[in-house]
Amino acid sequence: MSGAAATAGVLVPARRHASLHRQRAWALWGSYAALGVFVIMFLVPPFYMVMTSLKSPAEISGQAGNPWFVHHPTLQNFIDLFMMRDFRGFFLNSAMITTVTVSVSMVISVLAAFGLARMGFKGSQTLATGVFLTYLIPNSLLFIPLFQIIGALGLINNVRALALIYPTLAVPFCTWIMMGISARSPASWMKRH
Amino acid sequence: MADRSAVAVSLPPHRMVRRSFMRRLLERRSTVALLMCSPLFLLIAGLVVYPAFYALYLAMLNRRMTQFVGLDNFAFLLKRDTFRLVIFQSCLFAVSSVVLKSFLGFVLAHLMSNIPSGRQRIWRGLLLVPWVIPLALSTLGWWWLFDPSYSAFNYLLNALGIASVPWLGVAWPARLCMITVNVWFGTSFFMIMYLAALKSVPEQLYEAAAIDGAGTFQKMFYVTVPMIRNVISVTVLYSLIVTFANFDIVRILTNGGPESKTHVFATYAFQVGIQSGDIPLGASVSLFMFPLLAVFAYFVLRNVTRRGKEMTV
Repeated sequence: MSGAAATAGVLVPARRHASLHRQRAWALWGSYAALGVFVIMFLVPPFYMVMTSLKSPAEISGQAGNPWFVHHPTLQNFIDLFMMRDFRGFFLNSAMITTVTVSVSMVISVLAAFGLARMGFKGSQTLATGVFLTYLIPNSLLFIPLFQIIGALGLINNVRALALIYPTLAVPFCTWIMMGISARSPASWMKRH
Repeated sequence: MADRSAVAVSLPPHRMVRRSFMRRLLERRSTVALLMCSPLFLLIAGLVVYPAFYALYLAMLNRRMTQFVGLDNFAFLLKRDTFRLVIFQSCLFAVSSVVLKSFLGFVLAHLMSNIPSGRQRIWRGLLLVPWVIPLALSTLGWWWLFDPSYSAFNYLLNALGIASVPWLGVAWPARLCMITVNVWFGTSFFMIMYLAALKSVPEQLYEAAAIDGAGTFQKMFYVTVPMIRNVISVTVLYSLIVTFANFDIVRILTNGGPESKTHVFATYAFQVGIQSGDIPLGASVSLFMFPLLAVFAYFVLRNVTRRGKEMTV
């Protein structure tokens, strides 16, 4: 098939080839230009966040001049932030919750995905569909009953509640992705020795 | 294998029988597989299925959660003008965001597939930035951009000689701002999905279409769209579900204001259920999403299984 296409390419007259080439070049540069516009639009909020983070409080409350650029850049905000006791605590919380969530959901989802995708038992197809369905349930549908459940467990305003909630939200998605991966990995890896 | 059975022979007979039974049970693939899946099932049963039914139960209680009132909460909600607005706003927000995201994602995927694959990486990275920043933080950035007194957007408008717009203070501009932020956030996801789908369309089809004299648009509508139709529908339906249930953007950008004219289901449920403490009413608000989401989910699932069948055939 590709051989036939190659010979067809050779047979195309040279003039046609040149015009096609020019067309391609136009399409290429047009695509770059359009992509550039999109990138600029997409990067506006992060850019503005960076700019604002470099401004001093006086400059922000002064409300003078162009808000898009920083006139007297300062790193004081970042220094203050890292000096704040609270912030260090928050940062530690985030790091800890992330570690717990990632490790718990990886263990659960890798095991389950392997079981569902590779060891096909009776009803595993239905269960896989069920996992996908739970992935489709948005968390805003569940937060009120979960609020009650967390309250009953006495974990309201407790960081540990997040270590329970976040894996729940992440696991169906991870399992779904991992199922695709374990279904595609070669069967010979699983042969018994 | 061989030396293990030799060890088993040296054991007393009754232990051997029990062990071999256990081993046979363990060696059955289905048992092992079920054991491997059990943490997942426990998690889903405890923190997804049970809460879902619990929400149903909660929605049928009175405010103090002492009495069973049946469907009164739902009837009460439907009679309120605020809630009717919420329904309208949720649909407007979800449908227009998804249409825009899908269109822009389609355009971006095509632009991306035009450029040589070696260069695609850096562009893809740049375009994925909105999708990678945590939504709550980037929405805060947008909130500053929309800020009424010292707004970056109003500065640009004033520079062009146009009067300032109170972006988040009036109903329609605020609704458009919500949609803008959502489109900004979600377009990259559509781009990635469509780009992967475009790569799977065989090049020969385009060559054949070109030989038949098809132009750019004919190629797009008679080759590309039919070939990636499944991916388009799954992505759109999935995104409809997620956008419909969106919480972060509205909560941070407007918190439902002005006068509840930007509330969507999730934020309204949060306000009624958790902030005002009427948990049964909040649960009924969030359950109103369910029928619509179930319909979307049904179609997603149908498409996914169909795609699976096509792939195996």
